[in-house]
Amino acid sequence: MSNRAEHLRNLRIEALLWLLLIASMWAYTYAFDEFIPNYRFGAVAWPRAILIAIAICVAGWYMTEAPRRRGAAALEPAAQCDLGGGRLQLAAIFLIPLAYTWLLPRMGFLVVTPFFVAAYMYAFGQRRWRHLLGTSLAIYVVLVLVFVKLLFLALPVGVWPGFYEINNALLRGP
Amino acid sequence: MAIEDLLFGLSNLVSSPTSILIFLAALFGGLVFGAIPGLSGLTLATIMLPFSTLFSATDAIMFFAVLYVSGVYGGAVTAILFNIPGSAENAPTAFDGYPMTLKQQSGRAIGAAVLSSAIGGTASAVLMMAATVPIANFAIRAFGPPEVFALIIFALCVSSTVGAESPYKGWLSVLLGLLLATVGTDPAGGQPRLTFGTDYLTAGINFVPLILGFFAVSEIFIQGRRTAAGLAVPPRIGIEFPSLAEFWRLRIAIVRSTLIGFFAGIVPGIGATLAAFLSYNEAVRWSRHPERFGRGEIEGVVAPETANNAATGAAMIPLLALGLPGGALTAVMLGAFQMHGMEPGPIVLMTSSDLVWTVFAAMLVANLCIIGLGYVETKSIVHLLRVPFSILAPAILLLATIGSYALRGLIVDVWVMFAAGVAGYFLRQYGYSMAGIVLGVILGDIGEGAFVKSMQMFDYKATGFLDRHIALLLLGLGLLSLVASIWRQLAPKPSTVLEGNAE
Repeated sequence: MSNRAEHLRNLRIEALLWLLLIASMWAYTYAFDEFIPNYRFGAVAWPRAILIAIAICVAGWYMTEAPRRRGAAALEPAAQCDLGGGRLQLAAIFLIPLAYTWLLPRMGFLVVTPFFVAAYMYAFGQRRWRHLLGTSLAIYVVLVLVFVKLLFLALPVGVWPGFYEINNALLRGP
Repeated sequence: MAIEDLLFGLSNLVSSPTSILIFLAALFGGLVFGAIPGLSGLTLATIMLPFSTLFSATDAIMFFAVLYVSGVYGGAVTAILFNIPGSAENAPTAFDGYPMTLKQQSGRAIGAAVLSSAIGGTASAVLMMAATVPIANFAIRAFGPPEVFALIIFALCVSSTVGAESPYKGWLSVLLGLLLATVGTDPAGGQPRLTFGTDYLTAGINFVPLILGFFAVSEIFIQGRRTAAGLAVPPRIGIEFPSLAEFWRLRIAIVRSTLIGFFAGIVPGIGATLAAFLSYNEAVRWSRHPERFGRGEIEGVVAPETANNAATGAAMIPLLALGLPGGALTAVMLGAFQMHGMEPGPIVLMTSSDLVWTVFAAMLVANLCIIGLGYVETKSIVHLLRVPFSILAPAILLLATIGSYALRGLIVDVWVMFAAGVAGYFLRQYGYSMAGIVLGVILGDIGEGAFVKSMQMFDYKATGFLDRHIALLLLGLGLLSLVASIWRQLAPKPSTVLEGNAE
């Protein structure tokens, strides 16, 4: 595909995504389109006005951008970082925090956090094991001291069998 | 303002070792918490509110006032070093502060933030002492719901293009933020809307997880992508402090930003965030070289930092004179007053003038202290940049996670943060403004509430705005700004080489 065609395709996809958002949100406004006694415009007026404004913006943007992309004298390819073998690394950088968030209420902050820190440092390229373990422990200890011991912030203690007891035991300390 | 009152306040402050300790705790606490993404001075304030009953009324109010001042400055540090604003009012600081870090001018940027925060805050404290009663009376009488609505529309129009690839992308960013702000219940009838049947969304989407997600988490993902592609280059440290000559050159921007910050800070509910965005935008508009903004222009750091600190003194005016909080932290202060059996308002000014003048003196001294502390910070904290990102990334993410979770003790806030982070990662690739989205979220609720009340006042006739001169002026200026942006877009440009927009 030529560079110009690629740019135009990207433009159309972006505009289409906006239109999909507008259409789906507009359809959803009918779910709360009910009469409010003290306000004639109801709950839907403001969101619908915003959706109309978005539609106008998207239309204006498309009408000014499309001719510009068609008429540009020369087009460089849409610059992409060549990830090569780093796709797995990038996937890890995205997925590890999501896994941490999923496990956090189930296993508790005090149990799962040190593993998260070590795993994320590894995902970002830290390969020296002493650094990995030492720094993970240091970050974990500082956070626990400041937020749990000093500020008494209530953080998740876990709901899976056994983890609630482990977290509370760690909280109580020796 | 009587000099004797100020001297009395100062003597009150320094005469008690307890008061000095509380002052220092608030000063350092605000600096540290303000610098931690997601935690801010407001977090510390809410944590300390129950403990403030142990202090005297004067010390308690003084604590929160000083915390406010130092917290607003503190958020600039991470905005400059890591492109992660400590709070919403520090978002515009990142536009030029972070590019300055990438150009090895981190010390210069932080130094600029220090001096401009101190100047704005000090000037605001002096104005606050001189003008509390008369300005409060004017602002509260002149600013009703129509004026608040018009001010928000004006602010959104002039600030919407900041940080975006194009005006259209800027407007779309703000409109997306306004749409996110409609999630929850409507201000007129409490009707749930866009809640998708969940109780969580009935309370609306809090802006703290959104800020953390759009700025901190998305930045980590972007840095992660650069790391995966082998393109990550650690920024080199610059510890040079900006010169006084450089600041003298920016004197007009500083004065303008102080005034913008002060008057924006007086209007209840809007405060420092609006002040920072408006000030940045005006700096771009009035600059002889607007093309330099967004690429490491020092004025882009000075303008918002002057304004957001100038708003701190002004936010105290409606609180002390009329009992109306100017923002979230002043709302906490209102709680502190009530816990000590006091109601802020005209009575407090008459019956507790020692409290009022001690607070004024403390805020003045805190702003002056920022200069000294900030200089030390400039030489020391920039060394955080030496820390490899493989260590910073999990630390920042953990702090953001804790910050989101600590809000309400709900894990869904953390999920919202990550959803915003993923969305922010893609939106930034395509030139949308994270700051615009956040601005829309913060101002959307207030704007809609003001619009509802305005329509009820005007019996649903929009022509009612024609009778409100301040509102009409603001709406006119906003419309002019919009038309000017559209005109600049439609004006014919030479054919250009289109570059890819991936980061």
